[in-house]
Amino acid sequence: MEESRLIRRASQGDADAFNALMGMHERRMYAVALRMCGNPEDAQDCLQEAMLRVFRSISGFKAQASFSTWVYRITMNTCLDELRRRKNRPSASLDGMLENGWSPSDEDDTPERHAVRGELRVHLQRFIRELPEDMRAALVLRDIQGYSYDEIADILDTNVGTIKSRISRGREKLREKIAANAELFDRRPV
Amino acid sequence: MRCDEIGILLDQLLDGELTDTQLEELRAHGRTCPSCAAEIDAAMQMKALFSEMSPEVDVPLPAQAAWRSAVKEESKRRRSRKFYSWGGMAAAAVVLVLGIGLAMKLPAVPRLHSDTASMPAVESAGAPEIEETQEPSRLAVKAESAKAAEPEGEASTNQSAVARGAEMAYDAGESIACEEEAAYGMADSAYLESDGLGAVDAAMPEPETTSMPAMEYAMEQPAEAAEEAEAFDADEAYESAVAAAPVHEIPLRVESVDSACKTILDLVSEYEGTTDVQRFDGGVNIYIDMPAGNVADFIRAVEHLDLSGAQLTPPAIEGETVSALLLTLTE
Repeated sequence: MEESRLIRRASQGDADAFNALMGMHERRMYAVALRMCGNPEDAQDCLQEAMLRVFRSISGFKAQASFSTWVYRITMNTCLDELRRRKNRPSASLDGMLENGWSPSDEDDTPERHAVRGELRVHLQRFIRELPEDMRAALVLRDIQGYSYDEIADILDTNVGTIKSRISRGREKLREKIAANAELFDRRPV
Repeated sequence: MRCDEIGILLDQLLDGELTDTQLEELRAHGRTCPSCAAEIDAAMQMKALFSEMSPEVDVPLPAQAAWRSAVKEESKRRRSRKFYSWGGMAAAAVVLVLGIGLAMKLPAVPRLHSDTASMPAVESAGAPEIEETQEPSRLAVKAESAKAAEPEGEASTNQSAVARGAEMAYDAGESIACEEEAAYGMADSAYLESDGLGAVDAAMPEPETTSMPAMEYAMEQPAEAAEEAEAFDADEAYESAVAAAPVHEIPLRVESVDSACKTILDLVSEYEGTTDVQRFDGGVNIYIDMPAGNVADFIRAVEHLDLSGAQLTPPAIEGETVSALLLTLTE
């Protein structure tokens, strides 16, 4: 069933239509939450809260707008709200983060190569999580989720200049951290 | 190239906009400046790692179940709240159905009244005689008792049609939830029964309530999880169910198509429906999606408009949550 029909029925409170509709978006939403929160538990909490927020406000969604942009705006706002709420939460252990949910499994990978790259990604994810939230949001949407500067400005409800500046500064901070932790990143893939 | 210029080029590198010339300039600068070399190297590593991070990540099955059932719970909660805000008639209808569940075999009203102080409205609604089919409990109020009441005829009043619609919607939601549970085929379906489909709190759950930490689950069954995620598709089941759902056609001959169309569109939104209008030579097709519970009232309201002078039969909408109607207006 086409998206607009599902949106209409979901707006009328049809939970099954809603679940079918959002089933097409959940993997991207979860990816955003995972990269913002830095661990699966918090990311899953954010995913559920974001889904409920979308459900509660979908009747107010204007058909002319982009549904996807609107959903990711809600997802990002949910993550930012949660992060501000849980400011002093200790970060998850490294072991806890080494799991196959971070990226799709690559059939060409050997387990060893996969493990090494996985560890590097975990380190990078930790650095991303250490960025200030606004910087983190813009960088995740650009460098991992692949949105354009215009789309990101729309999702984060700010102008392109601000977005570019946040991303540039965020990348600079990450470079500094990687360079400062060269011993972690010295391992080349097997 | 100066050291303070490489930042812009490194941004271009990550945005995939660096020309080969610019790349060579960067490398050349790196050969002369060790700290910039470290930054350039870091940027290269970042780019490579980012490209390995997919914009989509599989959601662990327990989390998939959790948000879906949280939404279902929210939807049910919303439905029952609505009844109590519709005013006396509807509230009486629900109370009537509850009363049937709570106090079976009562021919007249006074006993109901004395059993539960909160039931005075039942008196004025004129409770019909209902055959006992269930244990008198609140849970028995579900569609079973409403369905048992149906053949009596008296139960087909304005009030109970509304209540019946909602009961059916409730049941339809429940039966789909049961299908999901079966589709999972997970060894640990106890998770779903205890936490997932029953008592999920719509507010943020504490991490401790997750019976199976998603991490461990993913670690234990990486390959199977992917396959099960493919197999589990209650969404697909919903879509094909709706595709097969009937469109109830209602032809209407009217004096003025334009004015009738406008009036009907206004009426549809009063009954929480949404519309698509298609004109054809000689008339108009109005496609309507409307909560099933409102359809009978909507049809009656259309009848009262007296646009066509004809009597309209409310369509049979058993098992539907949202009904699809097609009103065809011709002059």
